[in-house]
Amino acid sequence: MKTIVLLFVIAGAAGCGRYAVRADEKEYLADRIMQPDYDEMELANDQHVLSNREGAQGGYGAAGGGCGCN
Amino acid sequence: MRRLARILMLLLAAAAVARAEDKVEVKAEYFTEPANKEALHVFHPAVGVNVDAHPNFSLNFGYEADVVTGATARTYGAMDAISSATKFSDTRHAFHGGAELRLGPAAVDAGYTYAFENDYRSHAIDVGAKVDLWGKNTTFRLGYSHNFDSVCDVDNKGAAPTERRSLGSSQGCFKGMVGLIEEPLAIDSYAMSWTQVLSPIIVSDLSATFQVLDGFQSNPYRRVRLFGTVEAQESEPLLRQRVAVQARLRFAIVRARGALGVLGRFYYDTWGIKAGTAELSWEQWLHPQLLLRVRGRYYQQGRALFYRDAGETLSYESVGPVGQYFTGDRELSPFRDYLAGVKLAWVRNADEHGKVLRWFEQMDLNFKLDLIDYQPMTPLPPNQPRDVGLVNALIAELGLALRW
Repeated sequence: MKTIVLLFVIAGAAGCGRYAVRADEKEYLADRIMQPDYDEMELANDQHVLSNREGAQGGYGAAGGGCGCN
Repeated sequence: MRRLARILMLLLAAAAVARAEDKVEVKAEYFTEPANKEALHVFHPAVGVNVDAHPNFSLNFGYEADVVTGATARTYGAMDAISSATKFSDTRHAFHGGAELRLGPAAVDAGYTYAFENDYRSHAIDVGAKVDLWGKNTTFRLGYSHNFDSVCDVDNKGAAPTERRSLGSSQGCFKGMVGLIEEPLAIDSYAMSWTQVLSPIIVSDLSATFQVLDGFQSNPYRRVRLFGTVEAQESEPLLRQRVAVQARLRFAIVRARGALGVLGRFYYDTWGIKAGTAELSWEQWLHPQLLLRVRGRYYQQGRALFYRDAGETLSYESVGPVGQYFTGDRELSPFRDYLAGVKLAWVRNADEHGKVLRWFEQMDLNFKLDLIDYQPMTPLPPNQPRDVGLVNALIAELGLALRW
């Protein structure tokens, strides 16, 4: 798990601090299928159901993170 | 001062171009664990409305309910785990109101939620802030919430844990009835997320939450059998700290008009539970108006430090509590579960022929079905009769969202 997080941070940092992707390159990113939080109510319902069955909860971060699209 | 005013003016001018969306959304969800002896049914309707009161200011309101009926064993012990279920029913209502202010690339939001049921009251406030950076390739968000909750319980003040009596019913709760009290529970939740565009077809996010629960966390109705004959109200620690970290990646597969989603989550808390979650999903446009999603999820957790299984040699019945703690909560036992689900959405956008139903920019009608198989990792965990067969739980959801 630590390795996955580390890889994630490195990959994320590589895209940080510059215009990794220009606005005119975001055609696919703007599609709803590229936005994991598009259906926020479904996500909230899922968390509600699963956190009442499982010992673990959280990790979903602060709701309403960005999608990177314009 | 003048400089500050100028900065504020610039921010407000930039905010005028940023606009949220007006939306109303309705969902009806049904969750069931269809076991013969301990069936559980939850009907969960929800409605949410988001409106722009101003180009840089929006309001949101929501309501949801849980209508719960079912049966469960009130006492956790070797004999009770497979017999004597007691019927119960309750309804929870929750109302939410919030606001968001957008200032250029940044936004702040705040909200309040009030929820109540026969034996539980909750007031919660939440605040958050978000900023889009570097051409919206990077988004950071921070959030905080605090719950002021109360749980109805029998007045057990002064009693030792093994002498505590359980609540018989919710009758008289929050009405000042003699012999009943309201146990406080405070919950502080801190959250952060970082969304990062990695390429024109890959987006990622990393999220973390830290939560502190301070107060009464036991189920007031649940009893545990100790030393063979004693039955006492479940006794769980008053303090619990939880940490969860989640990473997600999403890849657009352009030729297939689809997207692959990958999720990994690690969880740890001070009650000793460690858990991992992995999820794979595939979303596919079958038609310009028809979207399919299939997903598979795997979850596994270890046991709480003070959990003793009724089917093991070192059970509460044979050797008693762990310190002063004992529980009959299945969520604290070790288990794994598998989820397989499918979702179909019919999406209709306004086009050259006009708006959808004359008013809306988009209509989204969707249905989903999730099946869950639960696999205990000890011989006789709580609610064991619910774990028979291949499908132990089912989630069906019908939703409609209208945007204008």
